[in-house]
Amino acid sequence: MNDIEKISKELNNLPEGWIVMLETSPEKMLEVSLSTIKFLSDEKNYIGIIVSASRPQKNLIQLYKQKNIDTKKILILDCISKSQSLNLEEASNVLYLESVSSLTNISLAITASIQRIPGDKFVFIDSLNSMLIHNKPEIFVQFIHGILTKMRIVGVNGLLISLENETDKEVHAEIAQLCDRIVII
Amino acid sequence: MNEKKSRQDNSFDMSKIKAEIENKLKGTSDYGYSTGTLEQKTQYTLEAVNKAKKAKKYVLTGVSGFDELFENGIPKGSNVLVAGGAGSGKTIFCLQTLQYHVSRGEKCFYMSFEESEKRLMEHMEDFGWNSEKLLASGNLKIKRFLPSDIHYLSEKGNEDAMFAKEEDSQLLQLEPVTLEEGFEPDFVVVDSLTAIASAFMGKGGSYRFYAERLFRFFEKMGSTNYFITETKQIPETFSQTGVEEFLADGVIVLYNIKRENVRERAIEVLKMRGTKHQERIVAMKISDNGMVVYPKQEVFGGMETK
Amino acid sequence: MLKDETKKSIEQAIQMNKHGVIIMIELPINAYFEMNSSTITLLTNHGFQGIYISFQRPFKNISSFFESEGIDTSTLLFIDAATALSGEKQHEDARCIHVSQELDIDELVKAIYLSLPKLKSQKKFIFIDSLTTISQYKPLSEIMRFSEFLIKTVRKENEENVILIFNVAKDLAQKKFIRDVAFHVDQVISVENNE
Repeated sequence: MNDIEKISKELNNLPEGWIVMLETSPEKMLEVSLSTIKFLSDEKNYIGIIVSASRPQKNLIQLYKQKNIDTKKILILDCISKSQSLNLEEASNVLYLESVSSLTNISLAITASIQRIPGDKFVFIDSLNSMLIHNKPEIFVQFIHGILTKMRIVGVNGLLISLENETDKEVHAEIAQLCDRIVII
Repeated sequence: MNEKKSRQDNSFDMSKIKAEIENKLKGTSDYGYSTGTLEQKTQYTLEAVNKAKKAKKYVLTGVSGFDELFENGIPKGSNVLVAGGAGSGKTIFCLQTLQYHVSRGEKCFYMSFEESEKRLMEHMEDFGWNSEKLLASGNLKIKRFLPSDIHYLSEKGNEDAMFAKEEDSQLLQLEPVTLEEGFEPDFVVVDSLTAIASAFMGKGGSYRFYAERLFRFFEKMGSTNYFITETKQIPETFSQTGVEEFLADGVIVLYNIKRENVRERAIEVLKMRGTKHQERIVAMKISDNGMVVYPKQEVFGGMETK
Repeated sequence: MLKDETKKSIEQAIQMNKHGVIIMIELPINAYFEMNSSTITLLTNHGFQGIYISFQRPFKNISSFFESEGIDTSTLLFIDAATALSGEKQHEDARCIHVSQELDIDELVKAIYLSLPKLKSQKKFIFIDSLTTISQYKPLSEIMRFSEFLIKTVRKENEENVILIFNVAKDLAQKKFIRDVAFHVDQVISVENNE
């Protein structure tokens, strides 16, 4: 079974409102992210809310286009560009957030996006490791817990991607226990 | 998992959605609450308005989202400290509250011991509140006082007054501030207690006495009063001497929290006698239209005091 | 699903003490919640009614999963601390006890104390999921106080048969305060991976 088949099998076996942690190696992380987003937006017809703490939107949109992901079905919450003083191009599907460490603002943006975007959707947090570089673990766990609870209350699906064996064991456990499934690719 | 594809219509306009989300984050959206000029109606849910009307003995602030932190509102006639560090939004909070009340025909008085009237009017204009029109309505008065203008008693007089038992003692009846004759405000802002305290440098006992007189003066007047007080960014005490937070009926604290190289704003109702309120620190932003509070959004970290 | 050995361990623990028993269940993080559900299934199949205190997931999420697993949720009372912590509105349901957003430990204690008599069965349980999650929000002294109250409630000689279960992720079981709580339990059941 290849990676995409494994991802689709796992996600197909969960009731709506699922929260899944994807764990993979650094080499595979990008491909796993793109394949998962493509599966959910193309196959499942979900709208994606991508919280990007790893790459600026310009790079992400390029990658999505290369992968033939319909970017009209994606809203990117770009946590990188503003803090890196990158050029903030006006884009119809990008919200620029202050920084990866503005967890309150990120939470507000996710909540507002969930409330406003109609239909079936998913929130993709990319990535736990990137966010942990900029945030204290205990605060970050609170943030994840808070946002997952809000998502569960309204039945929004969620994906958290992280590097396998690269996260502190306790932090990993605090977050993983909140997920419905851990999928190792 | 449900294998059928979602049948949603994906021809919706993501750019429109994005703009709406941005507006909501900035606090300029239509739904929920909106701040406004005298011409714009402040929109409240019917429930909140009726509740406030029925209650009559409570007042709202009109600050978007903030009133949701209370079960009813702020009890009328309360003395409320508005505490926070530099740039945390204390002046904006108070100006916004007064703007809300003036637009409802209520009388408001802004006593500034720091900024000039002109500067305060410019602040209001920054948020789209027509300060000239508000002043012209006759319901808003902004007056600058110098801390040295304060009618405080001489050192000796203070000591006598503190221990004086006769209630009709002239010393005790001396008013701590002078208001314009014929203007009985429903709401007063004193900006700030910190500036007033500076006039009592080295005379801590006199300041405490004065503060107590000030609070009692406004209590007798029956107005609802907001006293701005400057603190550390993450305060452990909320007033100059500690006595003010003891005397006050309520304490509202504004935060400007440092998170790595950015700041996130927050607000809480630390104390409010006579009403139930949320006891948590929630997110707040200052938008182009004024302050917006997010009563359901907790704040993550940054509150640790060193 | 729990392995037979694990089920047997829990059943033995249940039958261990007429005046109540305290168990700590250490679960692997893979399929953590599914295993929670299996534990609840086991308890309800043995005629227990209980209070499920959730710091991790909102009521709606838990109850719908339990129902899909065939658990009769009318035999359960839920304290939805997760929704309270998130600041969202708690679900209106007869089975869901509301607590304040500040999540005062005393209030939680009171809620549990008042809920226990409402359970009709003589066989009751209190399920805590999980102490490590609430420890992210409250000082450890409060967590220990909470645990102490629960332990004392169960240990009362004249109380009905109340089982107290502390649910903990295995990777977090070595935290000092968890070890302190584990010291007071009757049995620690460690569930293996790939059950």
